[in-house]
Amino acid sequence: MKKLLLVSLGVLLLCITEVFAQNGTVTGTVRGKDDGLPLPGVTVKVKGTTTGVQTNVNGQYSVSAPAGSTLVFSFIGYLTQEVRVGSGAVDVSLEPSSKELNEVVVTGYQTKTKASNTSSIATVDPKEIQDKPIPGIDNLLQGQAAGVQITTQNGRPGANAFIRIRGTGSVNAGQEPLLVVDGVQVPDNTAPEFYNTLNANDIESINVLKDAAAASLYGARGSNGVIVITTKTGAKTPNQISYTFQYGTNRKIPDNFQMMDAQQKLQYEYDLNYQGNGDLINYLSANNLPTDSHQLTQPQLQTAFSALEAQSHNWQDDILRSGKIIQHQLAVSGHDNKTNYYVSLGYYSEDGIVVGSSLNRYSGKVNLSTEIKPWLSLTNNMNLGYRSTNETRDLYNAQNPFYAMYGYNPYEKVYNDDGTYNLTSQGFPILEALKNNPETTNYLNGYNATTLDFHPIKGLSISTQFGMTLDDYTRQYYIKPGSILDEYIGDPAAPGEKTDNGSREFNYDWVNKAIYKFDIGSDHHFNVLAVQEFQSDVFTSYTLSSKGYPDPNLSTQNNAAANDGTNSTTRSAYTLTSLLGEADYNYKNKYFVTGSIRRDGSSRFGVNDRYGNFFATSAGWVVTSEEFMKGITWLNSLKLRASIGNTGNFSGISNYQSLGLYGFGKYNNQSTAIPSQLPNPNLTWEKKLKRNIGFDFELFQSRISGTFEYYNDNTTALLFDLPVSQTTGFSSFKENVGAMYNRGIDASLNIDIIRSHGVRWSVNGNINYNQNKVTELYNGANEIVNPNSGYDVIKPGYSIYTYKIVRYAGVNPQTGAAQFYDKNGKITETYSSSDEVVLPGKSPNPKFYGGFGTDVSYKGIQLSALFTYAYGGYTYNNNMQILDSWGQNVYQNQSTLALNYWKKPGDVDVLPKADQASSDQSYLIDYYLQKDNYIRLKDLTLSYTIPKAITQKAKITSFRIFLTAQNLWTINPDHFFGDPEVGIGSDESNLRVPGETTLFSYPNTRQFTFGANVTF
Amino acid sequence: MKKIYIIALTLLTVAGCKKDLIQNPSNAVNSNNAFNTPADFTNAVLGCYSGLLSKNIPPVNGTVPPATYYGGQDGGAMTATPDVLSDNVILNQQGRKSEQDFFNFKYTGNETWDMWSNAYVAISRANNIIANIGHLSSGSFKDNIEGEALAVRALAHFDLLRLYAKSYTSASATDPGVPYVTSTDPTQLPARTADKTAYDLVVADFVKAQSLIALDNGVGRMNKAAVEGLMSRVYLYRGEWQNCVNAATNAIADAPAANALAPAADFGLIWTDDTEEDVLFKVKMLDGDGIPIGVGYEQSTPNGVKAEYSVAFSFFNLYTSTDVRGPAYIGQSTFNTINYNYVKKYAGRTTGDANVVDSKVIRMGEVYLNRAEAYYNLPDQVNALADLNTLRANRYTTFVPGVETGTNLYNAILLQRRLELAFEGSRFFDIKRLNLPIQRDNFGDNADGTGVPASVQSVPANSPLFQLPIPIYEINVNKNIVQNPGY
Repeated sequence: MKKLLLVSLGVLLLCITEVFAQNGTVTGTVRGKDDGLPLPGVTVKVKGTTTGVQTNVNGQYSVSAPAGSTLVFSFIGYLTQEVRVGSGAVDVSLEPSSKELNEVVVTGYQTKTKASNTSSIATVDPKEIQDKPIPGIDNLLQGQAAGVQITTQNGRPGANAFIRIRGTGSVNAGQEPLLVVDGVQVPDNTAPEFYNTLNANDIESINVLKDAAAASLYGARGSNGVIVITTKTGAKTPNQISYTFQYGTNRKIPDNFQMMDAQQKLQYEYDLNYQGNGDLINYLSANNLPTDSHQLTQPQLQTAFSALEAQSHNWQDDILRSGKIIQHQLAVSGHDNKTNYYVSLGYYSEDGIVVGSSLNRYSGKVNLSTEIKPWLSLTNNMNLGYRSTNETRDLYNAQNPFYAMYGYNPYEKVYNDDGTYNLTSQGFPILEALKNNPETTNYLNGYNATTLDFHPIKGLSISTQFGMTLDDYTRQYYIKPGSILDEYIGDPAAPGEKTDNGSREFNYDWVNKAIYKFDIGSDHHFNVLAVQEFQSDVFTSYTLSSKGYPDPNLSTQNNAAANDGTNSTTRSAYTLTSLLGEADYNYKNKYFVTGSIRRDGSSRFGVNDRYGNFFATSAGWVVTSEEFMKGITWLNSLKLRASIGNTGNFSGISNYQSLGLYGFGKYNNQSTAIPSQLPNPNLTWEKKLKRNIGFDFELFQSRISGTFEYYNDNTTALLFDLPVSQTTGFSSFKENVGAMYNRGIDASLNIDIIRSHGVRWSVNGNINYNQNKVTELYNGANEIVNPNSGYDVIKPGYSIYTYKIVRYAGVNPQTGAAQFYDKNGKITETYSSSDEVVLPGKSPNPKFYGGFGTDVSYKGIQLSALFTYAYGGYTYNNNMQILDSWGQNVYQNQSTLALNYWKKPGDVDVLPKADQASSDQSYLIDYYLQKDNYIRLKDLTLSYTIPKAITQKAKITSFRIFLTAQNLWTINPDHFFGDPEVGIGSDESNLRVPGETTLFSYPNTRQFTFGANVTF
Repeated sequence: MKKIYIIALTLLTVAGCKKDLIQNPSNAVNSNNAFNTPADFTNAVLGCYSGLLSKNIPPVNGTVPPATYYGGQDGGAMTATPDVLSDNVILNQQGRKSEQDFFNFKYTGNETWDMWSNAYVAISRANNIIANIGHLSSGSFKDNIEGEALAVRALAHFDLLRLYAKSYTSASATDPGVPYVTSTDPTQLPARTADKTAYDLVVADFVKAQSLIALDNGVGRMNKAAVEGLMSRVYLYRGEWQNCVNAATNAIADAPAANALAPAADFGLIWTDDTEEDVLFKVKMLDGDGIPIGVGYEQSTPNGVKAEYSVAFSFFNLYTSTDVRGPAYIGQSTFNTINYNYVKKYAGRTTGDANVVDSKVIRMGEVYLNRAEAYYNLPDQVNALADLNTLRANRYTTFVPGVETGTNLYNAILLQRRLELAFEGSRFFDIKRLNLPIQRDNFGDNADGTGVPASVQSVPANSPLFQLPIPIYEINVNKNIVQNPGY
């Protein structure tokens, strides 16, 4: 830092003079050379002065400039043009620039042009994610960037997405990238909330830092990649007001399987000699018939069945609904010479596909920037969002409507004849629970970043930014007095139970930074960055619970008769202190070299390993800048680049993980002290060495552009819960052991097929091919079974989460018995978990994933489609196992596939002999392991912009109407039972490995919306 | 120059944050500071009991495993599973079918009763106390703490042996028991201690505990009478009749008057925790613990009781109309038009959360039955009959002392044991220790014996199914552990 001060001191001693001259007024119109349309927002500056204006909506400008001076016209996406002022109007036509030249990449610490960038940074066009009926930015990124794998967690309103950049890089530490918004590093726990609260329409740029050269700037937090988001400013827009309205519906994506109807189910029960059908027994005893259905005559049986069929219905019709989506957005932005502003307000409301599931979001944003002095500017970016949701249970039992809609028998009525809810054979009326056991959550979160930027001399910027993030979460769960659930689990003497819990995480991030850009001669360009940073984070939480509520409408804790004795609060904190330096050098904009170093210290890790250093270096060569390439006109741009460096991963580790601890609890309302954690003073972050080579190219007047990269990421010092013998009283302790790699290819391609004035048609696509392999565990460990599911393993030589289950060998056609392969491949009829084998190549991880799409526009009409796809992954399909059982689940409704069981010797292609007492159903076998390949039309948008000639008469700058459809069409080539895009298996059962399993989580949904945008 | 000062000042303000890198938790103390004061030891001993309750079990990869010990509910529980694994109950077809893999004897290493991890948690808490006991100055406080810790350690090992190892009387000298763990080394990978050796160590710990522990700890903690009562059980399992008689006699003598054998009139109060009569040691469970142990058997709904298990029809019929245990243990309810006999023993206190009630570990009723059986085997039929009649006099509203002898007397003792300890986690272990087969009746789950009978009707004596599989987690981690045959 001392050097930096000396440099700034030296430079400050130089004098800066400004030249003032006599001014006249110059006017003109700026158009685009490509389509001849006027360009609003073009910056027009008088060269050598600070005087500048922007063109209005008609592309017109008026600036005072002395005769003989030079006007500089600059606009993003176009080549900057200089025109000397003569007499009269100066009209110009700007030439579109090659993509690479005008695009910028944002690393969060600074902004670089894409041309000078030598690291792997994917940019997402924010236009692609605007005006969608999806509240989370994470979900909106699906299919948008190569190597960024987005898996929708489920269809719950406000559900987050799983984000994996270039494969799964950790087992037990965090797997999600770091989120940086307007330069503020968001704490890992709260990032999901920020994705949900930020309004997609407020976003200026999204950059995904993939390789070491980019991500190692974030040292111990960069290992899973970094998503850098910046929000809009008013700097480039004329003063304008923009309003968007959107309205639509939300429905479940249809299934590809059939449930039994009442007739099929009753016959199935009869065939299996199931005697537990309460409705049937009820009917039979009311009619003085034997309650054993097999003692009935055929006519008696048919009469009884008909009586039950008469009351049958489809539970999906009763449980599901078509939800409503409403969105309003208002954005006001603009600027004058010194100040620019962007203010927005948003409202988003989404009804889920069942009663008791909904989301409401209010968001507000103010971005303000002003020049206090010529050498000092102030920027403040603020965003605040409030989100409230109504939640349903996400677990495998009758409290979950998405299990109930399949599992309840079709002949079971919703209501009894007396109007009360029918408990059904599941003993639980789900529709009653959705009303009487409400769960609501509220999130209040936001950030504020205040930046003072000194720029005492040309090229030098010294800034200090104080960023704060707050995430406040509250949850209420009310088992109303008199509800069925209360009768089950409540206290009859104190009916009703209410739980209020929540948390708050406050984090500040103070970044002091200096950037100095300078040239030596005309060929040597330098850019030096130095950063000093300190972060502090405090997380607090509380739980309150009480019972004895006098009235189901009174739900606050002060109404309760008795405290549950479970009230508690927690507090936990961490700090991170860092130094960072980065230097870029380029020679003639042809050869580029960058190097960086970061030193991080964190309170989270053991006293012996508290600090770490992270290095990265990268180089680039713009081949097309070479003299010998000048003749090749079809190749507009070709850049080769390579990078190497290391990063760390400190997320997913609790704050005091390195300490040996005694925790406290209670027994008989007295304190207990219990060993709660084994110590590890050497605990430190996971280390990832990232290597990347690739090239960017543009061909045929940049009609074809793309990027191709190969990467090799090696993670070592993986944080493992090192299993210990449970005879020690512990199951595991955290240790840095083990290694894995992710190697693969990211490629993206964009082709402008038609680029004429009236018609534009482009297609684009991206793909990631990733190979994940665990290479090392700890001493002596051959494999670790994933304890949450039990189906898959972490095993050297195999991809993470490779399935390990017993192989099914079909049905013995003579006896109908289920057959399995034993460990050695021999067929047996006895299931044993010891016959589980690792199934190479079968894991939830896709081999390929990505997205492709097309945009077609003709005059004001625009059609865009985005497809996403994944190939090569497997899902353990519990839904199928449960709904397509071998007789054991006869008590609940079944898919019609379950009817196809072995009935007589010689039957083939059937399920085993249906036997209701069989426990085979609980066995894990690869019969239920299914390929979850899919191609999905994620988004289809049709819009029409009313011609300016018409709208301008009403003083409207632009008016656009649009229709969107999400998840409209899915190709399920392998006949996956259910929706092949699998995220969470079951949230409350902690089955959260993306795509690992299904277990009746909230289904994915399909939206149709209509909207309009008007800008004044 | 002013600008430079501003910049320099900014940077200096942020310097010197090194001490901020040391953060300490708000909810725990460092292990090195856990055993300093007598209060620390009291807290730690109470932690042993919360271990028996399966509370604060360390998470496995971030997930807290289900409670499976005295605080277990429907995923394996000391109060229910040994009855599910027996002829006392039958799977209710309208229940949630919890534990049906146990009922059907279909358990595997993946899906077993993971009492293993829970019991060893209690053992490790006890071992940590014993390892640090030197921090206390000599005296009765220290002795009592050490006695309690030893007693918990012995009980938990004994329960593990009952579940995972062969019965003492059927095991050879080399048949494996479970690791008898006395070390606090987190890296240990102990092998299975030989069955008979492990039983010896259980006895040794109990004997030492008996000499140290106080008489008046209350029934919510281990106390001298409870230790002696448990010793009578262990000796009974070992077939050491005189030792059993002695231990039982000590327990009866040392038990505070308030914990003497409950008279028939008070018997029902035991199960709503309205009396401490009959109870020598129970694990206390309060509403705030959130552990409704009764849900392993039933949950009450507005439309009747939804039972997981019905009382087996022929067993139900063994409770005569004058037996106070019948109404205390068994309720009848209609659910979805079908009438069931369900287990209401843990349905809860008269006030408070449903299904939350203390889990009884050793009762005076059992002590009398232990002694009666031991007397019979000594053989001393006179005293055996006397103990049996004492018990029966306190369990039947109108009781004429019996005069059984020989096999009739023996069968009467075993019958009373089954009736007394039903749904209390004893039946499977009693069948096992006597090396008998499990033989279920062929009746269904309905109150009148109709309904669906058990799919597995019998398990032969000394079948490998009597030794439950050791959880696969332990097998995978600890190469020194040999799985039981058959899994």
